[in-house]
Amino acid sequence: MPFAVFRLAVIAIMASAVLAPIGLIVYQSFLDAPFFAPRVHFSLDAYEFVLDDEDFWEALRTSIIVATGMTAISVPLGVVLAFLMARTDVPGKSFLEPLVLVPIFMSAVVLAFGYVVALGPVGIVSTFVKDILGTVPWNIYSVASITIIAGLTHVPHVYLYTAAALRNVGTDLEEAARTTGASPWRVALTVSLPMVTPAVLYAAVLVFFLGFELFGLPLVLGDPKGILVLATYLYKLTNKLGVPSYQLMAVVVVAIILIAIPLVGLQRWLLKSANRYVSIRGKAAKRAPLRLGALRWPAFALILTWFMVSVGIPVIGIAIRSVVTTWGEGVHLSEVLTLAHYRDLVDYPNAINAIVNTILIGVVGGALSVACYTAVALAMHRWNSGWTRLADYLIMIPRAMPGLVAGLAMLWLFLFIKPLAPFRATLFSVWVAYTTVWLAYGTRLVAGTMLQIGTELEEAGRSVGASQGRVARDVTLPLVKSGMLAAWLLIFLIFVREYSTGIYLLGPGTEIIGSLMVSLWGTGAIDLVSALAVINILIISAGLALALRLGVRLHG
Amino acid sequence: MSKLALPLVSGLALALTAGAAFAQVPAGYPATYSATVDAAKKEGKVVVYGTTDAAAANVLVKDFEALYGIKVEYNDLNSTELYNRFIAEAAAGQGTADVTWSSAQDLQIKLVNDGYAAAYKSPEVPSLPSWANYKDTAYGVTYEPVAIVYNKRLVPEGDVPKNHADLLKLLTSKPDAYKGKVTAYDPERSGVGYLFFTQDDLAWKQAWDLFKAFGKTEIKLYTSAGAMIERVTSGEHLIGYGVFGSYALSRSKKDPNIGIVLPNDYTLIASRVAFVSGKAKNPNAGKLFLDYLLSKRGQTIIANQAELYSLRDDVEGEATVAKVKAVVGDKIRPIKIDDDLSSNLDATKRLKFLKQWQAALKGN
Amino acid sequence: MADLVIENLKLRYGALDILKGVSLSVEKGQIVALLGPSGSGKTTLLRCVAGLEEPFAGKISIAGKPFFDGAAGLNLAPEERGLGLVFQSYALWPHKTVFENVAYPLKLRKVSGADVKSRVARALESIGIGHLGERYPHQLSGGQQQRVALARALVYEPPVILLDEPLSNLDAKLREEARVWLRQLISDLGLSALCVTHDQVEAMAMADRILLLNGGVVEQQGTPEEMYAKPVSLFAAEFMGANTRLPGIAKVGPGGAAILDIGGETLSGIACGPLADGGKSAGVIRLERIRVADGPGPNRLKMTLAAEMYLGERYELLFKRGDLQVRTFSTTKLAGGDHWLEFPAPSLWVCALEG
Repeated sequence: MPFAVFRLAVIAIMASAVLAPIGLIVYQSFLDAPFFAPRVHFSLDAYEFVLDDEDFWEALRTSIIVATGMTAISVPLGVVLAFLMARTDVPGKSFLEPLVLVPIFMSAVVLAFGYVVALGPVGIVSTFVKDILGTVPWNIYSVASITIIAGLTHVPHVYLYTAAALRNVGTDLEEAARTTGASPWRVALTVSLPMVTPAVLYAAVLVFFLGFELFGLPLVLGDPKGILVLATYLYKLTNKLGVPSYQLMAVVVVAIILIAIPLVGLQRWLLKSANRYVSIRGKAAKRAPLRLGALRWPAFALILTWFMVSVGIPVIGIAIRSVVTTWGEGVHLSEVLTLAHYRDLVDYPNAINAIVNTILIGVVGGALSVACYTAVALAMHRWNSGWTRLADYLIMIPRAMPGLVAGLAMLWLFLFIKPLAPFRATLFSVWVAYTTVWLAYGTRLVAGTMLQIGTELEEAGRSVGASQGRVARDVTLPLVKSGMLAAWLLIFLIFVREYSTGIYLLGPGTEIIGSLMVSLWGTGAIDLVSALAVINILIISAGLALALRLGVRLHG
Repeated sequence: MSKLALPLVSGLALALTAGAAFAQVPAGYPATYSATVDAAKKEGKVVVYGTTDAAAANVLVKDFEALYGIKVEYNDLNSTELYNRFIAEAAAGQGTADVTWSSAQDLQIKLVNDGYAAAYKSPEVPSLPSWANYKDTAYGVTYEPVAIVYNKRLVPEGDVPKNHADLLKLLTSKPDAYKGKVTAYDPERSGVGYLFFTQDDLAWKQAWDLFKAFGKTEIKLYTSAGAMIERVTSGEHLIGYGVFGSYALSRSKKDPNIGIVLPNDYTLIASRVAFVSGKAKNPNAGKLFLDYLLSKRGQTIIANQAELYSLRDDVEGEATVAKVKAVVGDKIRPIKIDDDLSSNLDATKRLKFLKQWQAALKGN
Repeated sequence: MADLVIENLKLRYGALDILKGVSLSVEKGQIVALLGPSGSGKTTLLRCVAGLEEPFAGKISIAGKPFFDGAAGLNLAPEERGLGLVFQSYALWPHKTVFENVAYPLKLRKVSGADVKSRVARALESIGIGHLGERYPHQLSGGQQQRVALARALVYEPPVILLDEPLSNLDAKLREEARVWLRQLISDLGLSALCVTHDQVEAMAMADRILLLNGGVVEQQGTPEEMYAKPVSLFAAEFMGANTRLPGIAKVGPGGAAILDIGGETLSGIACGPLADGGKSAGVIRLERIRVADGPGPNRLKMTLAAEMYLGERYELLFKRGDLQVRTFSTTKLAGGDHWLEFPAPSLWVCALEG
C-alpha cells in the first residue's frame, strides 16, 4: 500500500471519528427537538435561549475566571517544578518523578470529594486546625478554592511540556552562562527559561483550555453554593426545563468549540516558533545538574508540599473515609474504624466485574489506542500539507465536548449508524469513545517523540531505497518504541479513571469502576464510593509502579 | 441490607415456587396468564433500565430469575441517563429496555404520554392503591416517604423537628445556630428537588414561609442524595430536608449518626414508576417482571431487603405502609401518579416556579 | 558521457528563492564539489538530486534517465533513484548495529541472506572497519561513523554518490587523512560523486571540478586550478585561497588593463569581471603572491610592519598604512618599521565593488 494511501486513510478514519459526533452536535444545535424526533425543524431558538440565559453568562464568566486563575497558578509552579526536576540536584528525584504526574490520573470527582473530607468545613484537617486556631481559615466551596485546586492539579501538564523542552536545551548554553558569572538562578531565569518559553506558553494555552472543560471539581466543590461552570451548567439546563434539551446542550458545546478553535490556532503558532525539530544525534554530553546547595532541601520540601496539597491530602481524605463508618465534628476516628465498606464491595453485584473491566480497558484498550494514535501521528509525521493543518484542529475538537455530551453523542452514533449498532453494548464501543475523546492527548504524546527523531535518519532510509512505509516501519517506529510505551502507560492511567464518556454505552457485563461510583454516589453510598476510589487509586499506583519497574520512561 | 430476612424470604420463595410449579400462574391471576409465562420463557430474558442501585435491585433480580428462570439484564442508570438512553434507542428502532423503572415520576409519565409505553393492566391492580396506577399503563412500585434527616450527634434532642411546622419554627427561632447548616435538593439543578418542593407548595400553605426561612439560614442546596446525607452525617450540615427515606434508612443502619424524621403534619410519599415499553423486544417477560415488582412476593423483598418501602397493605416487614402509618398516621400524602405530574415538566411553569423560589431564598 | 545532468533547477521555500536556476553536469568517474558559503543553496541542490527536496522547475537526470522534470511533472521518490547519500551527521540508525545499518539497503533490494553477509563484510573490510560489525553507532568514533555511513551508501553500488559535508564532523588532522582516503576510494570504485563543502581547500583537494554557488546561482565553475587562478568575480576571487583586499578606485587603462587607485598611488592589475571607470573597486591578491621588496618600484606600496607571527615553516606578517591592512608571509624574520610591498600585476585582480 503506498504511503500516501495509508496517510489519507488514517486521516479519513480519524476525521470521521471526530466529525461524526461533533457534526451531530452542531446539527442538533440548529434544531428545535431531538434530531431523531419525528417532527423536527431548523431553528435558532436554542441559541436564542442560551444566549438569553443569565446562568449561561454566569457560567461562562466563572469558567473564564477559573481557567485564567488556574493557568496563572499552574504555569509558574509547573515551570519551577520542571526546572528543579530536570536541571538540579534536588534530592529524591527518582522517587519524586512518578509522583509529579499523579494528579493527571486522579479522577477529579474523587479528588474533590477527598478535599471535602479533608479540608471541608468539618474535614479531618479542618477540625484539627479549628482546635488550634478556633476557626477554619479557608472555605473550599468557593470559586477561589476551585481555581486554586484546579491550578495545583494541572501543574503536571505544564511540567511535562516544560521538562521535555528543558532537556532539549543544550547543556553548553547553561554552562556558558555559568562561566560568565551568572548564578544558577540567573541562568534559570535568563537562559533556560527564555529558551523554553514557547513550550511553556504552549502548555499555558492547553491548561487554559482545560479550564473550560473542568467538570468534577466544580461539580463537587461548587455544589453547596451552586457555583456553575460551563460543564456543570449543562446539568442545570436540563433540569430548568424539566426534560433534557439536546439542542441547548449542543449550543453550549458549540460555544466551547468556538473557544477552542482560536486556542488551537494559537498553539500551532507557538509550536512553529518553538524549536520544534530537535534531533537525537551524536553523543549527548553528560549533563551535570545545577547544584542547589543550601536550597536543596527547601526545594525538596516545596515539591513535597505541592504534592501533599494537590494529591496527598485528598487521597488521605478518601482513604480515611473508606475505613470509617462516619466522620466529622465530634467524631473520634479511632472509634469508628471499619473494613465493612470493602467487604460490602466484594458482595456488591458486578463490583468485581467492574474492576476487571476497568483494568481490561486500561491495559488492552490503552494499547490499542496507542496503536491508533501512533498511526495518526505517523500519517501526519513530517507531512507538510493542508491535511495535517486540518488534522491538527480535528484532533483537539473532541476535547471541547464535556464528558456528559460526548457520552450522549457516542450513544447516538452507535444507535443510528447501523454498521456500528452491533457493537453498542460491548466494551468495544466504550473503547472507541475513549479513544476519540483522548485523541489529542495521545497523538501529541506519540507525535512528540517522533519529532525528536532527526529528519536525516528517515531521509537516510529513503536515500538507500526504502519507501516511506518501510522507513516508517524500520526506522521511525523502532525509534519511538520507548515513547510509545510511555504513552501506553499514560493512556492506561487515564482510561482507568475515565467514565463519563462511556456512561451511555455501558450495560450489564460492561460496568467499569467509574460508572459504579456514579451510581453509588447518587444513592448516598459514599462509603462504598470511597472504597472503590481507593481501589481505583491502587490500580493506578500499581500500573505506574509496574511500568516504572519495567523501565518505561515517562519522558525525555 | 438485612441479612436476617434472607433465609426467611428464600424459604418463602421456595414454598411459592413449589406451590405454583405446575402452571406457574401466581395465585389470583387469570388462567390465561400461563400463556404470558410461556411466551416470556421463550423470550428468555428481560431488559430493565432502573434508577434503583444495583445492590437493592439485585435481590429482586435474583429472586425473579429463580422464580421464572428468565434472565434479567438490569441496567443501573440515573434518571436523566435513563430517559436519554431510552428515547434515543426507541427512535433508532434498536433494542431498548423492556421495562423502565425510574424515580423520576414526572419523566416516566411524560414517556407514557409520548407513547413510549405499552398499555397493560396488571393482575395486581386490585392490590394497589389507586394513586399508583396511571391509566393501567404505568405503576408506582414503591412507597418512599420523603424524610427529614438530622445529625444525632450534634442536633440537641429538643431541636429535632417532628414536622414541617417545627422546622419552620426552629429556623425562625434559632437562625444563627442553623445558619448554613440546613441542606436540601436544589430545585434548580435537580429534578427530584423540583418535584418535592412543588409538592410542598401544594400540600402546605406555609411552604413558602419555610422556603424563605431556608433563605435566611443560607440553606445549602445539592444535586444528589449522597452529597446531602454525607454532609449531614459529618456534621458539616445538621439537617437534611426532603431526602428519600429509603436512602436514609439504609444509611442509618450503617451509621448511627443519622436520625430520620417522617414529618407528622404531612409526609410526601414518592414512588418509583415502572411500565412496559411499547418497543419491548421481550414484552411478555416485561409484563412478568412488572407484575413481579407489584406482587406480594416482590413487594416483600422491596420492604425487607431492598429497603425501598412496599406500597401494598398486605406486605409485612420493616419498610412498609404500616410502618409509615405508625409514625404519621393518616398524614401521608402520596405524590399521585397522574397528569398533574407531567405538567410539572412544562417549561414555562417551571421557570415561573423557579423564579419564585429564587425570590423566596432572597427573602422576598 | 555525462552521468548526472542538472538543468536550470529552481526551488523556492514560500516566498524565498533558494535555487534560481542552477545547471551542472558530472561526468562519469568525476568528483564535483559544490562549494559556497552557508545559505548559498549547495545542500539544497544536493538534496534535490537525492529527491529529498522538490524543485518547481528544471530537470535532473542520471545516465539519461530523467529523475525530475518540472515541465513534465515528474519527480521520482528518493527510494526510486538508487543513489548513495552520505549525510553530514552520518544519520546512522541508532537502533541498528553497524552490520544492520549497512545490510539494510541490501535487504530492501531482496538480496539473499548469504549474499548480504558477504557483501556487507566486503564493504566494511574495504573501508577498514571489518571488525566493528556488531557494534552500535554510539560506540564508534566520529571517523568510524563516517566510514560506516559511506559503506551504507556504497554497498549497493549506486551510480552516483552524494556527499553532504562528509568531513565536517571530523577533527582537523583526521579530516586531511580522510580527504585523501575518500578521494582514492571514489576513484578506485570508478564512481561519480557530488560533494557539498564549504571548505575551499577540501573542494580543491578532492574534486575534479568545482561549482561555486552564491545566493542560489552558479557564480563560477571549473577545475580547481581555474577556480584558483582565474576568478571571474570579486566573490569568486575572495572565496578561494587566503587573500588581502585593497580598496580603491578603478581606472580602465589602454587595452583593457585595469588600474587601481589607492589614495593617489596606483597599482596595475587584471580586470576581474566588468569594471566601470572611476567606480569603487577592490584589489584582491592571494597572500602568498605579495612580496616584500627591497625598495620603491612599480606596483609597490610602502607600509609599516605592525605584527609578526611565527608559524613554524614561515612567518605571517601584518602591515598597516592608515586604514589599509595587508597580510603576507615571509620565510625570514623581518625588522620592524617601514617596508615596500610588491603586488605583482598578473596576480592582482581588480574587481568592481557592488553598491
